Amino acid sequence: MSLTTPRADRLRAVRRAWYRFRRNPAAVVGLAMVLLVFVVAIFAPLVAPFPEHVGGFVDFRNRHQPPSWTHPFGTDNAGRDILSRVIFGYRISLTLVVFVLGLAVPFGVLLGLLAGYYGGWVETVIMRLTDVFLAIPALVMALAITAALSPTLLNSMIALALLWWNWHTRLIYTTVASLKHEEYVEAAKVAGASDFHILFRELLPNCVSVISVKTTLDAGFVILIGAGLSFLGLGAQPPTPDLGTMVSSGANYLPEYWWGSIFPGLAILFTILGFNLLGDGLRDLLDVEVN
Amino acid sequence: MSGNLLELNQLSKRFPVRKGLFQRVVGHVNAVDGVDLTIGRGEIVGLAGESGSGKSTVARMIVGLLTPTEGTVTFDGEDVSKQLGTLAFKRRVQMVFQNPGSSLNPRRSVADALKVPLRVHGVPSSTWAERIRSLLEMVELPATFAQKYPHELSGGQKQRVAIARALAVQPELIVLDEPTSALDVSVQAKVIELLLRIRDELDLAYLFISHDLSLMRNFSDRVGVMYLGKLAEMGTSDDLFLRPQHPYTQGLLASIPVVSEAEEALKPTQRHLKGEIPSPANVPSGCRFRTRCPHAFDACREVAPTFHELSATHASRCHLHDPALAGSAEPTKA
Ligand SMILES: Nc1ncnc2c1ncn2[C@@H]1O[C@H](COP(=O)(O)OP(=O)(O)OP(=O)(O)O)[C@@H](O)[C@H]1O
Ligand SMILES: [Mg+2]
Repeated sequence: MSLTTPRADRLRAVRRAWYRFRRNPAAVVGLAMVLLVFVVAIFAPLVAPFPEHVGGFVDFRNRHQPPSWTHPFGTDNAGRDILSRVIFGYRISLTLVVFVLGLAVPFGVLLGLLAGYYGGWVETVIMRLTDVFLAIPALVMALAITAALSPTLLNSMIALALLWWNWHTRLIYTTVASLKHEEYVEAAKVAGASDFHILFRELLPNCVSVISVKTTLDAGFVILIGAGLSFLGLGAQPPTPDLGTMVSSGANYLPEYWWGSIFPGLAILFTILGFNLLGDGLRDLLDVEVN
Repeated sequence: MSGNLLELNQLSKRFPVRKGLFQRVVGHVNAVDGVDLTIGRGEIVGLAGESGSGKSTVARMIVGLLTPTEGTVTFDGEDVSKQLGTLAFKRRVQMVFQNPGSSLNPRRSVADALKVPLRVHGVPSSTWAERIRSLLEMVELPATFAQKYPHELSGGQKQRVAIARALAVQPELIVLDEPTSALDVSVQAKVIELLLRIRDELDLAYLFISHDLSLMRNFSDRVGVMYLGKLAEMGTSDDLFLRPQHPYTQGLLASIPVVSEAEEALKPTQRHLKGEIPSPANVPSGCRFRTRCPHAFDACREVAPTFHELSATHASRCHLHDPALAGSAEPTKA
């Protein structure tokens, strides 16, 4: 039994999955892009050439310097290194993603599990609620919420989380509604298993693939909408190095000092593209239907 | 009190049929309609019938997955109709499902599946490993299978795990809903053999559901034949297979493929069943089998037949057994 120990089996399964993943070049590129963004954001103080340029630093002699070896992305209207600010900007983007999806996904999945499994009035209440949230365009809703509260990063994160859960609820609802008639669910019931066991031990593990694909694809959109909010002045406030804010303040000096908004804009695009390529790759790998 | 382990008394299940935007109830499906059935301790009772006759619905009511619309379920002398969902009852009755492909959770290992009933019924966790090993041994699987996932198992192996799961809490009755119909013939025979051996070792009772009558013959002590939610004929295996009395049973038997001359000679001289089983939402008046019965006469259209006791063990629901009515009809046997 040397070759078929459980651990060897598991290891072989992982290696097979990695092999299949590797054959999809777009997914591998996506993974590399996402990893790069994470590494750069985590080690920002070490990676950024001018970490002190992140806050309210001002150096008017160096304002609006075009891209050069010292400042690959140029400098902004206060003479700050744009590359350093983009690198720190990724920290904010990823904080936004983790916070928004960290709240919205578990909450949305939980409601989806309950609606799909119990049906009846539980389903009616939850699914009508998702309809209400779907009927309102996301950006409009986020604008309204952040405008009603005050425009801060925290409030825009809360607004996005409030908007995001219902997509996961709908996805998990349809998944669970079809899974709950599987015989292993009935077998668990006949064995006397609790609803808690059936929801979280039998059904949830079978939703993990769809959840992870959907969440990866979502990450890019959360960054985009978050950037949109701060572009409109409703997210993080200057001098915080937020990518959306940087695009917006750089736009004042277009087209002459184009690098001021183009590079932060490309940086946003880079993360969105990375998450989407990775999400598509995972979807093919795990063979799941999302939306 | 009779010594029966399980007694079904006029058990019925009606499903509402919903239509339209507001899911209004527009009618009912009488999936099971007044079934009386007994199972003794250690007895194997077969339940046969075409697809849609209500066999699975009976099974699901017995294990508490469905609540009966009418009628009672008596287990070990106690009416459990109201407590089909309770733990104490669940320990004593278990079920093996039809589709090995979906009866095990693809994300959970064999050991995980076997632990569910152990945990629920409070078996101390220190004994689980040993218990899982002996359960796997009981169904003739090596102990290493505990760590395997369903996709690594064949259909027959999955069904063995499902049987082990049912055995985990030492039940007294196992409902087998077509446990072998998705398997190859050779695998089927092995699983049946296994089920018989386990029955002998543990003195279990089985309710064995199948539309395959040839499988029932050697397996079951008694057999009931269902048609559109009602039992058409009930008797010992010999009653049914050697002396079938109901035209439906005769028709079913006529459509079994046979392998030997001797078996051919045993077959009733009966035409094959014609036509399709009608929808249970729209049951024919009088005798529900009359639309497909080669002997149907006027009374069959108007009066629903009752059970006629043909012997102590054998009963059939057909007007042909009623001398007053059958006078006008041709006799059962040529
Ligand atoms: N939950 C339900 N809602 C509505 N109708 C149902 C439901 N379950 C079963 N039925 C109907 O009840 C009838 C009997 O179904 P059942 O599954 O008991 O038949 P069966 O004898 O087990 O058939 P098969 O051999 O196909 O398994 C069928 O017409 C079926 O459509
Ligand atoms: Mg069935």
